[in-house]
Formats: sequence, C-alpha cells, structure tokens
Amino acid sequence: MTFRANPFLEKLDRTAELTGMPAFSRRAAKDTALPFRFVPVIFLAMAVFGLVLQAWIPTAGWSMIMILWMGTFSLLLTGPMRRQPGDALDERERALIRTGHFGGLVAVAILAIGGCLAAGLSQALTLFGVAPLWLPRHPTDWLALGFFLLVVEANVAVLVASWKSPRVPMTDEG
Amino acid sequence: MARKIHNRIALFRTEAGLSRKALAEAVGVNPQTIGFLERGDYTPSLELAMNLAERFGVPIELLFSFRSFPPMADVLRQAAEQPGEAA
Repeated sequence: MTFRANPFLEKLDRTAELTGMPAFSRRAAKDTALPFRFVPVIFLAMAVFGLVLQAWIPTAGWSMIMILWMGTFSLLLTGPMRRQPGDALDERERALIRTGHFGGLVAVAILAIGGCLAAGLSQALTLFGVAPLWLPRHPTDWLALGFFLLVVEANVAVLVASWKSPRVPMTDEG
Repeated sequence: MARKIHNRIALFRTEAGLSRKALAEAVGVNPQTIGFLERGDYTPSLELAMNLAERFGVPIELLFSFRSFPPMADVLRQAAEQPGEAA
C-alpha cells in the first residue's frame, strides 16, 4: 500500500521501499518461489567469519553458525528449491533441486578435501617451525564445523538454483 | 554446449484456447513450467515434449525445432503469395 495524499507518509513509504522489504513481502505473498541471488553470498561470508571466530572464541563462533543455519533454512523454505506440501514436483523443479544440491555437495567436497589436506600439511610443516592451522578440538568446534558445512551446502544449493531460475517472474496466465 | 531448442507451444496453446494452467494439468507439470517452456528458459524432457505434441495432435517436429520458427505473419504472407503450394 502506498500513500499519495500525505507528503510525510509518502516520504516514509519511499524510505521503506528503499530497504527492499516491502517488495520482498509482496513477492513472498504470491505463490511463487523467490530467487535469492545475493543473500546466500552474505550468509556464506558470515559462516566463514563464524568459523574464524570459533578459532578465537570457542563459545561464540558455533552459536553464530547455528543462527546462520536457521536463516539458511528460511531460504530453503521460500527460495527456488522450496517444496509445497501436497504439491508434486514436476521434472523442471526436480532438475532444479538436483542441480542446486549437486553444486552444494561439490562445494562441501572441495572444502572437506581441501581442509583435510591443508590440516595434514600444516601439521607436517610444524617440523620446520611453521605455525599449525587451527584444528577442531572442543565439542563446540566439531559442532561449528558440521553446521558450517551444512550452511555451505544449503547456501550454494540455493545460489545455484536461484541463478538457474529465470529473472522475470511468470504469471499463470498470459 | 547444448543447442537451443525453439518451440511453438505458446502459438498452439493460444490457438487451442488453453490457459497455461489447463495445459499444465493436461501434460502433468506445474503452470510455471509451461511459462518457462514458452519463453525458452527450460528444455523439456523427451517425455514432456512428446506429451505436448500429443496434446496438440501434431508431430513433435512441428512443435520443437533447432531452427527458430518464422513469425506467423510471414508464414501467412508466404501462403498467400503461393496459394498452390500452401494447399
């Protein structure tokens, strides 16, 4: 709803529109999936920050990553990979979910393999006086690492599915 | 690189007087998928392509092609210029 008569309310309305939230709400109210082309990138950056934070403050990093996982879950529920209860997925939607999760799993595999190799190499390099990389030791470290990989998988999946979805929203008729 | 596949789904659907929703129900997909197909944003499986051709009662090559279809106005103009061949 926009205000046209009152200049003050009109300015407030324009300011609110600048935040993007009203447009987001209008799109969310429609029965169409929302593409998220940039939000997952922010979540991924925050997840990396959360893991770095975990290395310094073992009580803070994992809780930040857990909160990010909850945020990521909302992207899965409203994004292009969402599943409507009772609605059967057609071949295009199945292909989109498959492609998205394939991208997410490839990202997790690269991180896990790269991380293991880097950790092993850094331990070996301690023989030459090089400082070792951070390794998970506390239970919260493992929780942080596990949820970090979950956040990476889901966000990369949403990102891939969003970029594979057409930019112009379709209407049912026309 | 996959080749682009052009289609005439929108033309046949309009001619048949079908909405996207009605066509989607007839071939077992969601209405948005019909929109994506018409815009060329999604390449259908062989099964879906054959279902669509069957629904419109035409051979599959009349509905899908690697070459872009000429505009209907050009086809009609050509048919009017060469009435013997068109018949």
